[in-house]
Amino acid sequence: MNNKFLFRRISLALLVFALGIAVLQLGDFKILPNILTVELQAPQPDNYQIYYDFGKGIDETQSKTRRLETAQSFTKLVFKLPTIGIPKKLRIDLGMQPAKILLKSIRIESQGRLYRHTLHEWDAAAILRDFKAEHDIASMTPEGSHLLVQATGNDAFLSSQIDLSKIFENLPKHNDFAKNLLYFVTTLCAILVFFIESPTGLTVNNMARFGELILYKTYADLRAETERTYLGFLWWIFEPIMYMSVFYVMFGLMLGHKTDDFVPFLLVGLTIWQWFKSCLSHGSESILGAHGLITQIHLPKVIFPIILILTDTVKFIFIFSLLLIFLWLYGYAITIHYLALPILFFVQLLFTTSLTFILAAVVPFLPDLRFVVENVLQAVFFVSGIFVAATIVPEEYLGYYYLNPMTNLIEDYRNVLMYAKMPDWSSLLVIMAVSVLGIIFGAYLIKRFEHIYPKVMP
Amino acid sequence: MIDNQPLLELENVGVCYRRKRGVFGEAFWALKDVSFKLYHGETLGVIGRNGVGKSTLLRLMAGIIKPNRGQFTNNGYHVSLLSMQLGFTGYLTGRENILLSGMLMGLRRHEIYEKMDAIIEFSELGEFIERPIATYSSGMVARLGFSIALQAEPDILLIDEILGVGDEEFSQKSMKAMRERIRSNKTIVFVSHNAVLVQQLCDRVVWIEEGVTRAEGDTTAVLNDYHHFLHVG
Repeated sequence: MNNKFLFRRISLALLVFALGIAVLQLGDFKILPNILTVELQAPQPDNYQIYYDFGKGIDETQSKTRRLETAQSFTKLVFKLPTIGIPKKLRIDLGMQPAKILLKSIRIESQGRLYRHTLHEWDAAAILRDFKAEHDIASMTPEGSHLLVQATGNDAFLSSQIDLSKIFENLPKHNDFAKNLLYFVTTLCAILVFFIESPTGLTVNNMARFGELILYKTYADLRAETERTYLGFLWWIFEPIMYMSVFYVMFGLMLGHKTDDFVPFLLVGLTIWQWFKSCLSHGSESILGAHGLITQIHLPKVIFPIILILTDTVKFIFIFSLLLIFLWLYGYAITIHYLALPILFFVQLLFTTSLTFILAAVVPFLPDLRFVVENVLQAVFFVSGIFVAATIVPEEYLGYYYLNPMTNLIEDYRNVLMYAKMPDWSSLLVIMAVSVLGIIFGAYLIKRFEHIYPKVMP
Repeated sequence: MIDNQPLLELENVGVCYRRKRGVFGEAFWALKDVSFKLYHGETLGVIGRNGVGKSTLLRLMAGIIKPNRGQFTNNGYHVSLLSMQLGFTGYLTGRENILLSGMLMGLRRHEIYEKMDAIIEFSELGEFIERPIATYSSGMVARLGFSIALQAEPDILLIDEILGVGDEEFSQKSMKAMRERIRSNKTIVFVSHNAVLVQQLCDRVVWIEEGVTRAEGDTTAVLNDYHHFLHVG
């Protein structure tokens, strides 16, 4: 190892590490209370309201209302809190009619797709200690494990008497799981960069040459494809238009979803899925398909899946642009949240690449796998939330539902494009970390079999 | 005339394939025990009948496959197979195919641009160079393929059999270009079953029979043994 070589290795490893730390610093790992659950029973249906005070006083705009529908049993009313910090004070309005209400618990949670932390829970005794009846309440008396609240007017409410931020002082401030995972992946990548030649066979020296080859081959493949038809690349525009029209006519006009957002909802899901699927099904056959080439010349085999992914990505750019136009025509506006799109593309590309690499590495030995892949993709298609929103999934299965990275990504795209919301950063980060590991593993497999592929029968 | 440090070294090299798909199936040894060395500036002939593992040997030397046993050493040289029509795509024009094929062979884009005129000139394709090669006759494709292949300049060039391609006239021309290349001070491995060509072109010869090195050394001596074997065996 000469000095220049060592210097390059060290600087590359440091660069990787610095990138990881930068993401860690910029990333949003704060655990903030975002869910407030009140479990109670009341004799009649009624509206319940909570007010949260972030230090600017009680205000109607800083409140949420939920309706209690059943009077038969204990019910959990779930209020969503804004994640701008920790509220100083809470006020809970107990309906608009006089009633005897049984309070069981008040719970504050931090809930994301991947975790659910209970930050604080008040039982009956604790409610009695920390909350005070302020208005229209005759009495609050413990009754077994419940608290019986006697509301006497149409504006009964109780307020917290302690500074809530004090309670949260000692709680973990960060989502340690995502943070530690990122530390781990960053360190691992830095070590790999330092010690391993390059898991792909692409080195700093030949990167320029193969980069050029990859880009030109991508261009050549795309061009060859356009030459095959009369209309050429116009098909990249017409095909998605036809595809979208079918869904618009079917669901929008015939099945009566003209006014709600089901058609855009569906098209966002389908577009994103299509990119993932075509990369995966084309890319997995790429090394197998390059047999003629790789028996004539030595090339790092990893370039073949990369070329296929790039080809499909170029076509996706056309389809996605059309999707945007459709959404704008449908009435959705461009928002500041569009800034998150490049990050979503990047994470999806990483995830797609990791799966494609691993499949492309194995398929030459087991060509039958292609049929399995097709069918598994079809099955995953139905559980990736393309047709349905996560709200119809029962809460106890939600954790499993979100284990599917595509579910997360599709929901994030919808949040950005349709609901003017930011993506769920922590789940994106986990997908990214797992994908990076997958890419390294896949590239390692391809490198490992580099000289065996030319011997395998096509 | 010849340096002492060999460029490539093969010691008791064996390469096996599987007869069936994948990692299963019975092993089939295409090369069993091959040993020889390649020195700078020489033209080494490899002679043997069809199906004795010559193509496998070329792939091994080009770094496409690795030996299953024995030792193959490349002391840091760029070796490549002279391959005609590498990566040719029917829907692309002749010019685009020159770029693609050249890049696959290891040339940089700017190098190909520099050589573009010479390649087109040599191929005698004229106006056709802007048309998709699917519209070419097979002779034209062969001409283009040869013209590009000639431009690759690895440290060690491996040539499999064919020297001339295309119609009578182009065949003469390509044969001449190839001979010039071989006679220059480049290091070349020339694989053939044509003893006459090997006699004309090579400084030394390795004779391979059923995946085993039978003889290595002076061209005339090894070829005599080879002929003797063919007539007796």
